[in-house]
Amino acid sequence: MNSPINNKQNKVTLLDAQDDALDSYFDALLFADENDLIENKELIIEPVELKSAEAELSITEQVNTVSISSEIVFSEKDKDGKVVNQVLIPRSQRVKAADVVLQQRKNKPSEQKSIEFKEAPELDLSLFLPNIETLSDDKQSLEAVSRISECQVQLESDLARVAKLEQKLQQKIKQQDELNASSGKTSNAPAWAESDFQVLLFTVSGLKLAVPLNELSGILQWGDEYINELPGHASWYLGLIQNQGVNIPVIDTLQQVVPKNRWPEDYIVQRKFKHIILIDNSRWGLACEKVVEVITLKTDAVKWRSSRTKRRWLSGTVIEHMCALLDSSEFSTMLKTGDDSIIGC
Amino acid sequence: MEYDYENSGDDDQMTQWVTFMLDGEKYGINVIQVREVLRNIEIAPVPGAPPYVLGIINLRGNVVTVVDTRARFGLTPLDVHEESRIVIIETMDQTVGLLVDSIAEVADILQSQIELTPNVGNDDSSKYIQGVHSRKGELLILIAVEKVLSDEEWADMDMF
Repeated sequence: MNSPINNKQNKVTLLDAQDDALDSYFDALLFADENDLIENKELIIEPVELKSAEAELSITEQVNTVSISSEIVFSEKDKDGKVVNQVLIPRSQRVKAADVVLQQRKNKPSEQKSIEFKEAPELDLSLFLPNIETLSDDKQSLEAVSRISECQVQLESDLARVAKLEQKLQQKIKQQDELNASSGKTSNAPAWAESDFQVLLFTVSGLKLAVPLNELSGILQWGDEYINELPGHASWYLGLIQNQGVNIPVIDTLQQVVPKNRWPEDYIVQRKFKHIILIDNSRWGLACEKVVEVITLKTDAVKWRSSRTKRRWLSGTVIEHMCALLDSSEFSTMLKTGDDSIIGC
Repeated sequence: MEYDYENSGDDDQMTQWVTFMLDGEKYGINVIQVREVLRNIEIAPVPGAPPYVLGIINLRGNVVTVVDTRARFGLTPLDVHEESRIVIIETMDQTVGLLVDSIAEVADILQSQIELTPNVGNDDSSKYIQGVHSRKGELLILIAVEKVLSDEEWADMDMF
């Protein structure tokens, strides 16, 4: 029954089948429950990225769209319209810069110069400075400065409003995070997983599974004890093994967690077990191929399942290790009741 | 786990079981249901009989149907050999022979020493296993003979 896999082609087929099984398996994990999807949708927060003054702010609440440029270009032209001087001035300093230009003009009254304000494309100054193209005299310059001051005030007002909305948004995000923490992933974790916990990783036909150490009763080497095969049982029921005076049913784990159409080819013939994982106070033995290692997990390292109408044996998945976390008590119940609806098949 | 015979109590009834081997495992049938054990009996095949029916034998003038126990239990088939025996049982108002690999012994087992087999779901095919008993490091599988065949199958035993 447990002949080794010697054929290379069979190995490839086996691995492909395992990959398919794992893909399907995790697909099923991720999309198995509509309730999960609904919950996830409810928790989605529209991402709003605020890029200082250059950002176009669009927030879920009704907010005026503000397009702002951080710099203003001051161009000084001669009477022929040729640019003789051009200065990029930060918006916060533009009034002072304009004063400097005006002061320069006062010092040289004989020169007829025009000052042209070029706004960056995003800033529509026409809203604030209509019909200003050139300043032919000081009065016009002062009016322009006045307009710029008004623009600055308006801008500061908008920025303050944006900051206020940003703060409000942060509060909403915080509230959502708190909501997630109270009713989301963490609440689905069992009590023993509220702090760091250890799990034993083992594999069945390439599929990696994990069982929490606090639910682990022991590990036996396959062959240390004779397995008594009982007639008339399903192929997943491998028989009884005697351990410390107790007869423990041993089952083929893969047949319980993976649908039959995803088993490796000739699995029943080629399956080869090396260990037996004892769970549920040694009530059941899970035959496996390899015991990998014991790892420590944090609660948030597991994607805990919120609703388990199917595959109740599956507590969650550990993406980092690409493995499924077993709920041994549910697994035991599943084996006792033989409820196929909660088996992976 | 060794049984505490001194403190077993008066209600703990002693039972006797005829044990036999099948595909490396030891099975037991309650001695009350066993009529006799036969060896080197020619079995006449019956055309059209179910796969688990090996044929019939003439037992002192009576026709007795012989069941291939291996086939009935879903075990790998094995030809009749020198150690093979036919266990004649009486149950359900029927007399039937069970072909087994070999006969082992008669075991005395207290009722309290019989462990119920763990429930493994809704698989009815194993309902004929009455229990198990750990004995000298071995596991003895105790058979409820009347459940080896269904009522219809028992009724059909007369047809062969």
